[in-house]
Amino acid sequence: MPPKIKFIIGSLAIVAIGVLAVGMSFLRTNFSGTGSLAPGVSDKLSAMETDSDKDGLSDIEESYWNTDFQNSDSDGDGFLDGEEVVSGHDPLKPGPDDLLTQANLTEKVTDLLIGGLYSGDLGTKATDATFDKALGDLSVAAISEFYDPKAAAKPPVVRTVATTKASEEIYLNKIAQIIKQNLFSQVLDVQASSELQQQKSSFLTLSNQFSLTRDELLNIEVPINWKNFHATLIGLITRFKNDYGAVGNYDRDPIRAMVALNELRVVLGDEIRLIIKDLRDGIAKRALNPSDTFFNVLGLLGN
Amino acid sequence: MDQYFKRALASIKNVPYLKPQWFWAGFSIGILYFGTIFWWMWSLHPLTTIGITNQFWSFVIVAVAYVGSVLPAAAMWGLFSWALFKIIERWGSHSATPFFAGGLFVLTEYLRAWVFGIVWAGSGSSLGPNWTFGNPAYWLTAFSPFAQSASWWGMYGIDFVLVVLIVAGIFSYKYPAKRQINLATLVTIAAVCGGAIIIGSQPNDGTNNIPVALIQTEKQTQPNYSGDEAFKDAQQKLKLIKEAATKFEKSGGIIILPEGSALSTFLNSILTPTAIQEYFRKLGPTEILIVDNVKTETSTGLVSRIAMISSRDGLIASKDKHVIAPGGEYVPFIARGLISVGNLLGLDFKRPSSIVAGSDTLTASKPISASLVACSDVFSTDAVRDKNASVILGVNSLALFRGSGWLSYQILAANKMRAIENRSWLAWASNSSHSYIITPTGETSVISKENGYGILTGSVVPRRQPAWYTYIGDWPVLLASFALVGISFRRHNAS
Repeated sequence: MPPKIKFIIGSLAIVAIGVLAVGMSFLRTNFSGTGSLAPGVSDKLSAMETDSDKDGLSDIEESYWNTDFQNSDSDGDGFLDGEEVVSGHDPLKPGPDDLLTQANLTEKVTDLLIGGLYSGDLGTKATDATFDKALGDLSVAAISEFYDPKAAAKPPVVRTVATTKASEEIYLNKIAQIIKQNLFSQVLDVQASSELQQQKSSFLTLSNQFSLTRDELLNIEVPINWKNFHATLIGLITRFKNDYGAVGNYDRDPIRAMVALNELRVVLGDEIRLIIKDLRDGIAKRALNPSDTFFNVLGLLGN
Repeated sequence: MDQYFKRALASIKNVPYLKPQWFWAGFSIGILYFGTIFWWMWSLHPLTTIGITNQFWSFVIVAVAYVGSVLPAAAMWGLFSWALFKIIERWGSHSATPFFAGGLFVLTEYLRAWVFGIVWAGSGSSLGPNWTFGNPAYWLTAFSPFAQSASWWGMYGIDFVLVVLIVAGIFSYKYPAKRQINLATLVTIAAVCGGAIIIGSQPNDGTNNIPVALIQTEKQTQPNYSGDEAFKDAQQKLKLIKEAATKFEKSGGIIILPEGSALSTFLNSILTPTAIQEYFRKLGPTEILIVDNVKTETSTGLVSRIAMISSRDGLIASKDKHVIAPGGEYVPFIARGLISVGNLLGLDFKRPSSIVAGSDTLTASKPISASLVACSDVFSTDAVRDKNASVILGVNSLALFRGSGWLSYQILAANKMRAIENRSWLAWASNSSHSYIITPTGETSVISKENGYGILTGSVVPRRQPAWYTYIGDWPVLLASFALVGISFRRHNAS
């Protein structure tokens, strides 16, 4: 690729993504020291700082997070306070709805672009291979940030009951209602012609609806052998909640909104089909006979 | 009576603001005729189906749509009567006058078919001679022998003959001195028609008899569907498909789902690709074709597509809906103003999601080649005409019109005309309306007795060869009409 083209691509990318955001980020990281960074990364513990409960957070950091410095798991969800902070979760709130504010993907990509230019990987003198690799790495970093594995590492806490045919069928009929209403209703009241503010409001309302659905799922009694399925379903609903939220907040983080929109349009459709496949397989395997229309349709599709 | 009529005409002639003379005669008849033809528009009110709950505004919107459809059509007939009397003034009882009148009426009807689309144009709509609502030829499908000649000269040929016969008949009565000439005209026309009828009535069926199952549904149109509603509708359809597939276990056949059924979309949302293949494969040991209608995104926008899916080979043919319906499928430019006014008044009108006129076609030759038609496409002669197709398969939904019987009747008449023109069997599956199969002679082979979920079975026979009209279309009649009108006006100007 000719150096001029590289230069134009690099420059346009920076300008397009936002000079202001870059400036803000630069100021924060260079003149405010660690001011904008959440304290709590264990490798920053100095020898002078003590960690009484050995949870990865120093006692000083425990005071910042308002956690118990003598209890390694302040919210009692089975994860150390330090682990939770490092993985971006709230150490005072049991999961799954305990993610701390997500990183701003747009700012992160901008930082990476700047870094690439400074290092020369995205500069005019970079070889084609280096330039392509740097762009590839940048894309991967952005996507990795979006699909943060740490955020999904913590399984939700669900209420379980003993597995009987009756409890399974009650459970299945309950989740059938939830699946139909949330994943198959044509309720997206977002019109291309409507004002931006209306669109934003519609997406955030949807995000809120999925949040309520997740709460509902957390309160359902789950037969033990459906626990993994239930966790997957909660994970899927959470992704819908997060994605609609990200799209609704496109003005704050446009790149995250774009990736979320893509996930909503393409990726989550596959996830729904897979989760329904799991459901069909589970029902067939245990010869269950739930009565909801949803299962009648699945039965008809199996001919 | 004649005296009163003459006095009335004389009084019209003397009123200055009623100029141009004779325009108002055709216009008045047009108002009555098209006021009746478009009366089905009132079945749209109240417009709760598209989210407008305010009764007054709903009335206003439907009234604007109704008046906006009737007036231009009536104006076309007004222009026809004005031009016709200009010709009569100059040519009087000339033996060619009935032919000039026939040609003039054909051009009027052809232009009228354009006008509706122009008045209700919108972003992505198609312009053309598509909207033939109320063409008098449709009413003649009930007179089967005469209608058969449409397989030669199409619907406009029927219009031509009809007007020539009427004017020649009137002239024979009014001008006894020239009765022989006019009677000769009538006899000539009758002979030509007779020849066309005899030739048009020749058997054209092939040897294959293909079983068809029409899945009829009753899915309401509403702004949004809950998951429960979507699954209940899907359950009904899947049960009917299963029933039809059981009937076709040995013979194979065609299952036609109505417009808006979106079976493929539903399957795609719930099953993995492998499971979808498995579903179709398990429908039966023989090949079953399923005609479905889906909305799909293209480079030009969202289109309504009719898809033919083989239980063995997947998608084998498709055709995009070309004549999209104003209001139901896109927002006309005129209506945008009304929506803006409503929103300024705080009524929170929502624009219905729009589709655009599609043009993509995927043609299959085996196991059957079909002209795939979606709802309003049936009013366009060109959208149905396909020389490579051996049958016509159509889908329809009148849910937005709450199953209007009057509209349903007009669509049936249009379907009969299309079947006759193309000398082809036609099968039509409906949502919120009747489903039926029409023979190539325009007779109803089977028809569902009422709206609602159900299955109607029958069979179609692929035609041996396309009709003459299928090859050539409307151009010969239009060119002849244009020539006749040109001659008559040239003579008029010269004189």
